[in-house]
Order: sequence, then C-alpha cells, then structure tokens
Amino acid sequence: MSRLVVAALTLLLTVGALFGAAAWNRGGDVQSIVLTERELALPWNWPNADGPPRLRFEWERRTEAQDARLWLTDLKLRELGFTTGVAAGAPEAEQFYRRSLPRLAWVAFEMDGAAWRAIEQRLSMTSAATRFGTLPRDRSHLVPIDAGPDLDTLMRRYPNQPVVVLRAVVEMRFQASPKEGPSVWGEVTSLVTSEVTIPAALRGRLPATARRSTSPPDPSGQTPAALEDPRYEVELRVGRLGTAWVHDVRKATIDQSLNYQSSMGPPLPQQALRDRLQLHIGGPLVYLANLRVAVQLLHGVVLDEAVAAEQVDGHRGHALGGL
Amino acid sequence: MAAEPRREAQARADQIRAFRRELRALGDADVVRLSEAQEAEVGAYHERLLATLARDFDVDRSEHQGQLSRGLRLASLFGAAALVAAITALVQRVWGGLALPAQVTLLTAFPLAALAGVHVAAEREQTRYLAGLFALVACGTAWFGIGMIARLLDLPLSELLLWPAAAFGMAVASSYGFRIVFILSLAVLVVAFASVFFAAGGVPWPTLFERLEPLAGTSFVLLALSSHLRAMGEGFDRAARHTALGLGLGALLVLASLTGVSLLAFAPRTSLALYQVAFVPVALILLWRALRADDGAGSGLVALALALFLLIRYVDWFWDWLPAWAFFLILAGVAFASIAALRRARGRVGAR
Repeated sequence: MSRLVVAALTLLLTVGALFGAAAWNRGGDVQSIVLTERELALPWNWPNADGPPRLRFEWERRTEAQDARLWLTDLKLRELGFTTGVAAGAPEAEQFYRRSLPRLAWVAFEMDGAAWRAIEQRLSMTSAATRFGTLPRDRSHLVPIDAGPDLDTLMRRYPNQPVVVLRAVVEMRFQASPKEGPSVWGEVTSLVTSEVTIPAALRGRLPATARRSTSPPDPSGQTPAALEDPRYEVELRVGRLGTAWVHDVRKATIDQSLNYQSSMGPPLPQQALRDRLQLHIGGPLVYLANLRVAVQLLHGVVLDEAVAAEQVDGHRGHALGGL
Repeated sequence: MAAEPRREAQARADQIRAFRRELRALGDADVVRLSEAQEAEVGAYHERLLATLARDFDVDRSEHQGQLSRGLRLASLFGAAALVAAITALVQRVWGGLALPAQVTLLTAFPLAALAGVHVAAEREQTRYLAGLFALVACGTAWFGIGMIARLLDLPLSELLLWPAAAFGMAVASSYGFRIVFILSLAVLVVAFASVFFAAGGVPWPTLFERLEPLAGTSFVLLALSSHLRAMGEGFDRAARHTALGLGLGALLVLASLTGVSLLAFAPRTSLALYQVAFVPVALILLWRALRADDGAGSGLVALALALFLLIRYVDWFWDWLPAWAFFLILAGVAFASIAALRRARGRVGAR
C-alpha cells in the first residue's frame, strides 16, 4: 500500500513540476511574433483529428547546400559542436559527415523578412519552385537565419525584428552531385516542439476545415495546385525554455500572397532585380555586406560558391546581359 | 504478498501431484504398495496441505487448473493492453470539447483510479491476476498522461520525463511484486540512463535508438547489478537479469549486423567487423554464466541471440554466392550437427 502511495505522489509531483516548468517558461521576458496559416498549419484532417488540437510549425527548410551555407556557416556549425574539418571533396568526407551526430541548437527564424524575399526571388527564377509540390506563394515565410548554442545571445542579436528563437535539431548533410560535385551543409531537420496546442478558448476562431487548394491539380503534374490564402494569424509567444505557445488567434488581415509577383514563370528584369539587387550588379562599387556575400564567404563557405554570389552572377549573365 | 512464496507453494503442490502419480505407477508395477492405512494417512496429509496452499496462495491443484491459470495470465495482459488503448482512444476522442483543467484532471485521474484498483484487487484475491491488470493499466495511463500533459503545456518531450515515469513504474511494481510492470519500468530506466550520455553532449536524446553503444553499455551495467535488485521484490533480480540480457544482446546484435548505428570513430565496416568479432565471445560468456546460475530463461535468451547472430552472418556472407540449394543444405547440415552435439552433451549430463 505504501508503495502505491509513493507511486501516486510521484505522479502528482510530476504533474506539478510540469505546471511549474510551464509557468516558469511563460514568466519573465518572452518573445512574440505573428505567424499565419502558412507557418502554423492545421492538421490535414482538421477538425476530425484525434488528440488535442495542435498547430504544426512549417518553415522554409533551406535544404539546398548553397542556400544553407549562407546562414549556417562553418563557424556556426563548429559553435554548435559539429566537426567540419574534413573538406567535402576528401575521400573520407561522405563517411565522416554521414556519421555526424545531430545537435540541439537555438535557431533564429525570421518571418517574412529579407531572407524569405531572397528565397522567393530565387524560386521564381528556377524550376525549384515546384520541386516540393507547393507553389512559392503557399510556402512558409518563416526562414532560419541564424543559429547558436545560447538563447540570450541570439535574442539580443535580433531586437525589435520579426524574429523568433526556437530550440531545434540541426544535422549535417552530405551530397555528391555528379553536376556540382560534393557539398556539405547543415540543416534544421526538426523543432524540439514541432507543434503548439490551441487553447480551448481560441479554438472557435480557427476555420472549420484544413487549408484546401483553390484550383484543380495540373493533369501533367508539372504545376502544383494553389492553396487558399492564409485565413488566420496566430500571435505566438516563446518563453525562457524556448518553447512556444499560442497567445492569440485572429482572422488574417494582410494577404501577403498578393505581394507575390509571378507564381512560376521567369520574372521581368525589374521584378527579378527588386530589393536593390540591380545596384549590386550594375553599380561600380558593390557593398557586398549588404548582400551578405563577403561576410558569408569569410565565415567558411569555402567548399562552394555562395548562392548570393551565384545569384548576382546569374542575373548579370541573363537578365542584364547588356549592362 | 510477494510472488516467490506463491511460486514455492505451487512447486510443492506440483510435487504432491507427481508423487501421487509415481506412487500409482510403482503400485501398478508391483514394486511397492502402501497399506490402506498408510495410503489414507498420506492422502489426508496431502489434502490438508493442498487445501492450505490453495487457501493461502491459490495454487493450481491439477493440470487443468494450471492451464486455466496460464489463460488467466494471458487474459490479464491482453485486458490491460486493451484497457489502456480504450482509455487513450477515449481521451483522444473527447479532447476537443475539454478545457485544460478538465484534461489534466482526466489524465491524472485514470492512473490514480487504477492504483486504487490495484490495492483493492490485491487485498481480495491471492493470484493477483486482476491486480496485475490494474497495475499495467496504471503504468500505461500514467506514462501516457505525463507525455500528454507535457504536450498540452507546450513543453518538449524531454528525456527528463523518463525518470518520473520509471520511478512510478518501479513503485507500482514493487508494491505487490508485479514482474511485467517491473520489466517495463526497468527498460524505461535503462533508456533514461542512456539518454544522459547524449543529452550531456547536446545531442537529441532519441539518437540513443540510432547509436546503440550507450544503450548496450547501460544494459550490461544493469546485468552486473541485477542481483542487488532482489531487495525490491522476490524474483526481481531474475527479471532484471533477463531485461538486461534482452536489451544488451539486442543492441549488440544490431551493432554487429548494421552499419551506421555505432558511435565508434572507425569506418563503419571496421566497427561492424569489431562487433561481429566481439559478439560470439560475449554471448558465450553470458551463456556460461546463465548455465552456471541454473537460469533457464537467461540461457534461452542468450542462445536465441547467438542463433540469430549466426543466422544473420550466414545469410550475409553466403546468400549471394552460394546457390540456394547449397545454402539451405548447409543450414540443414548445421542443424544435424547441432542435434548430434546436443545429444552428446545430454548423454554426458545424464551420466553425471
């Protein structure tokens, strides 16, 4: 009997400790950010999903080596505990990086900022736009832009910006492409808390169905169907433990998808070169730090050409060949 | 009441049944025959003893009762699993309509009610089948509840949650000697210890299922310490030994069979070869220890792991370059050789 009492007390103390941890997480300084349905998706079978109703984080994966190395440099990977000393072209590189253990890290995600616009621009000019079965306009605008071992340092680095720092799992990737050669990069493969619970009081503010497509699928399978515009916004808060919770849910007020210029086809030169890219290509003095080209190259993008540099070069060759 | 006295009582009852059968056989062969008075006296003594054992320990008094008891054990396991599944499905189903306090109350109430059920059932029946069922339900719903409350509060499913889960299971298991609950809790405890290795290095703890050395190491530490767990309950040392053997040899078997699951800083093929070389002596030492300790289940576990290892190696090495008929013929040859070796060993054991 006494041991059953011990068991009951263990359970009650554990539940108490969980509430204590949640209270501590939500006390003190918290991060706050507004995300849309693109970044916090309903379950596909909503509202019939079993279990507590939860929203699932979606973020831009940045799975291409060149893009990944723009933000997750060698230096940052080493800070996170990875060993990056073996060159991608070395014979033992594949074996070495495939054996690399995943690491827990704090990752700064920027919402609908410069990083997303650069990705959006690149996607609009390449066939990669359809690679993941989702049109660029429907993809998450939440983009990982920085990572480190310390939460406070990262939070201080992005004051008053639409940036949220979350606990995530980072893994090393190795790919030996016959065309581009071997490359190594880091990737955010999952979040420690990949979903957030919708409080009962806010559940009524969510749409009655999961996000649906607005056009029939392309019979050829070349173009993915467009999805409904985001229907809700979520004010998300992140506490001292780096775990997020839903503070508020409201109807989407800004249709960010309207800003998107062209869903698939190659853009006009003036579209392709918005966001000051024209200056970097045509100007006699290029301030590379604006494009983060030199900074990233010095931070260890030594195994391949950084994507921004390639992007500038590509534009020079195609869009503005006559300049 | 602990399970071990019941086991001894059952062994005594089985002895009496065997004695009666043998006495009948001796009489039929005209070797020895008790007088009617002696037979009545022995019979009355055994009946009194069996009645006492049945009253105190609910022992099986016949083969049929024994078969029904095995059915009861299976039914209680199945019932516990089904009850936990029913509770989790019910909770998942009604979830949307409940507020957080109601959800947490529900998740906490199920295991607490099951604990009360354990106490009531254990006080009323000697066999503990129903109490064992409630104990499994208590553990299943408590572990589900802890994980679910963490998710409801948007907390990560951290490795730290494994410790209270294991502590809860251990407390329940040691209350009335529930061995299945003990084995499950011990497995959670081994995972908790192994996860420390990864968590301390900033590596997500579920990686322990992908890189198996810490799990294997922790299991073998448990094997070394298993004899000290007798104090927690009768038969718990044996259950701990079998849990450790199962987990440790399972992990070692995977390490010796697959590349990419080792933490060793060698090339994957080298690590694999090292584990393949190490597996056989490790298994033989464990088998020798189990045989010396007269641990039938333990030696069976090790022999099974060894047989699986040899079979996997054989398939891995020879399947591609031997014709199918030769492959299976060699397997049959190995089986015949094993039969011959075991017969010889059996003859020697019998001669002693």
